[in-house]
Amino acid sequence: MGLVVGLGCRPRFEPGSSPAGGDQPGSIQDAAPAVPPAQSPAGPVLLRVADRQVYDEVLAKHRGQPILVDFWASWCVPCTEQFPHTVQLHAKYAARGLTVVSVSLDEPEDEASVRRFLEQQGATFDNLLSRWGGDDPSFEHFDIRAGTIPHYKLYDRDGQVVETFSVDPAAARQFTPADIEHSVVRLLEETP
Amino acid sequence: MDRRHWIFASTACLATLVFGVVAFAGDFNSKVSVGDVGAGFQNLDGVDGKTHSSDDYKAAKVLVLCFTCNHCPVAVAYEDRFIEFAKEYQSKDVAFVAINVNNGAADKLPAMKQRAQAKGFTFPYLYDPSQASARAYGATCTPHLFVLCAERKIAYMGAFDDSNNADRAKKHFVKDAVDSLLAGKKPAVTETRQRGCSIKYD
Repeated sequence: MGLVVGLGCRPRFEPGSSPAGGDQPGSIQDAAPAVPPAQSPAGPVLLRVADRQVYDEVLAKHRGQPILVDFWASWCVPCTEQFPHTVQLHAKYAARGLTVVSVSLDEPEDEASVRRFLEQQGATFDNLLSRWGGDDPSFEHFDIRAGTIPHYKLYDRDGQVVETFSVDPAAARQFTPADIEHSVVRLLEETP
Repeated sequence: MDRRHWIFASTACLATLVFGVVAFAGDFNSKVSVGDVGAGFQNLDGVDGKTHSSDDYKAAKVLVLCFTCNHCPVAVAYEDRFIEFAKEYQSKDVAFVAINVNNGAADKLPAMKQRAQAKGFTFPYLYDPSQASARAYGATCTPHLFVLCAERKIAYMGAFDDSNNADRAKKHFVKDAVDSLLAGKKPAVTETRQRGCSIKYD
């Protein structure tokens, strides 16, 4: 139950909503299911509020390695359901050179509850919180054309986006975590 | 509608076609562009127990289609704005129609009926389990809005306004587009990026 409360079972866009977690009147019961952490919480995680420049700096820091970026928010149920898969990819492939970064589109004032979620998940990689929260500038500055999350970007060793994973109304089938893993493995197997 | 209104409405429609984005698709939409004729829908179950088709609204000067759902917190944050808008614009012959295409239990018709009743939705809330209506518009998230002029061409598409938080919304894209069309003018802003939770395409 603590996990569920920590994720924020409450409307996220009410004025003056407390960022401190805990149920609010009229909270949405199914806003976020309890997600088991991939491993026991690793303690404090790296998290900071970021704009595009900070994002680019983080990518540049890891140039030479493939990078998977997971764009999520606590108000996005599939995002929080799939986040453990991202943590698992990091656990599985970091030693082979995969870098993982997460970017939350929660509101900056909710940094404390975002941090709690990341700690519970064991997100032992770079985590960013968009300074624009869930507003359009986040989608604009991070090139999320369709305005929706979950959204993932896969960068190659040269820092180029080689694949994005996003909802596609024209597709016969939507992407799954297995598709992401498949692409990660393929990228890792390419010789530098 | 009377002839004068028809002329205004057609002029706005034609202007949208001529000056709309001349591209294979929109800036944020891979399927349709501003100026395209919007797809109709047939025989969708509504929370009122009746079936609804787009032709039912052919008398409306403007038809606003809103792809939304029950569970997404962004969609929920917009409910009061939708209720207010539908109520205010009904007397101006503007139809606001909400369509849910998600097939999860939290979004299916029984849950839709419950929500519509609890919140007092002032607009039709329809269920399209085939998801064809959303695919036809290239809808990616909830909520995702399409404003159709008198000839049912897309005059505006994207977000309802510029903030999920009602208190912070300053640019009222859908209202402004509808007001322009009612005045016989092309909307100043014809497309913005939609924002919300991904539609759960099967």
